[in-house]
Amino acid sequence: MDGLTGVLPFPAASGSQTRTRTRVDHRTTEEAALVRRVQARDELAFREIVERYQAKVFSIIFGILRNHNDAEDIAQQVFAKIYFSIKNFDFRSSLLTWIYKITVNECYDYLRKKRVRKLVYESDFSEEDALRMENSETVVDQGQPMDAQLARRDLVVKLLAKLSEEDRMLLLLKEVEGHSVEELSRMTGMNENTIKVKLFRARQKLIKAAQRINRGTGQVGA
Amino acid sequence: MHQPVKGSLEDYLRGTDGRFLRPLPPEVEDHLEACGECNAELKDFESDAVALRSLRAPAGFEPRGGFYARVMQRIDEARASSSVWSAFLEPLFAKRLALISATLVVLIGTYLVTTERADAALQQHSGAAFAQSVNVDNTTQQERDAVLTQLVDFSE
Repeated sequence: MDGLTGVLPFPAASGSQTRTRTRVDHRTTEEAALVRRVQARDELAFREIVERYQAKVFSIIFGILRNHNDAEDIAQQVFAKIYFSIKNFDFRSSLLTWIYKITVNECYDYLRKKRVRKLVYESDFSEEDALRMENSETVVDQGQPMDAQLARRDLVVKLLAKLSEEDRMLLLLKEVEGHSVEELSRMTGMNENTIKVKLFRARQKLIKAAQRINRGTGQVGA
Repeated sequence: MHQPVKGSLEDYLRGTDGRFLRPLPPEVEDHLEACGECNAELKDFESDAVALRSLRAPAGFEPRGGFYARVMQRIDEARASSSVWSAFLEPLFAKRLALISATLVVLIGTYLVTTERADAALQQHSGAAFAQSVNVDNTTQQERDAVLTQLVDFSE
């Protein structure tokens, strides 16, 4: 790994059509008109936003948490947040990108609160109980998991928590939603080269975070 | 990771079906064949990409009916529980409050400064009047002393 990522631009791969600027004016889209109606307190427009994006929001949450009840609760929270903060939406990105960011952040807020609650709950146990629980978790992590895919999924959710909001969102939009760099550029308003650099750094951070976790649990390899 | 591979990385990892797009451009394939470091890092990136793709939810995932009503109920609850103090966090309200406070400070400052100047002018004026009255008193005293001296001289 060299340290030149911030200095040298990414060379365009031969055969690919890399345009450095794919700016989209998010203030003139049909979506923007809908947002303006919500900003003017049009409840029907807000209903349209909920109905248009509810399936997307649910699938993002369910993809990360894999729990129907949590997905419903967090999805309600996401749309309540959208309702209250849409007046600050500045049209720099697409509405979907903005909703995506709120949704992913809500999921990670939920996971963080859940971890804090768990720690508080565990503090009620005796030292011996806590040690037993800790050891049992370590055994599950280190041994052969029942479902390797599930374990890998949980690990990647944990690793994503170590990234910045922006890095996390870009990686999820690219790998989970399957958007191309060009599409990401249109959605976020950043140029393609910037997206590539940010994605590369985010991937490197993810690998480093995995290596740190593996070193902590005494495992070898990513 | 070296530049030729770095430049093609996102194209290579683009496959949405879990597969990676090979072959890469010939110069990148040549580099990968020769560079162990790039090969190892590419394997790590592949592995993470596969793990990330496991976060995809099954298709056709929809909430239960009446979701909008439940969202609105949540919004109403949030509105009801928000305190008076939350108004201070509203950017527009906070801006207006700051503007009014600044205007008040300027007005009070101006009032204090002008009042102080008027007081100083008045004080200066009364000082001069006092000095004048002292001068007048001094003259009368001198005249009285002169008359008394003359009387004493006359009686002698």
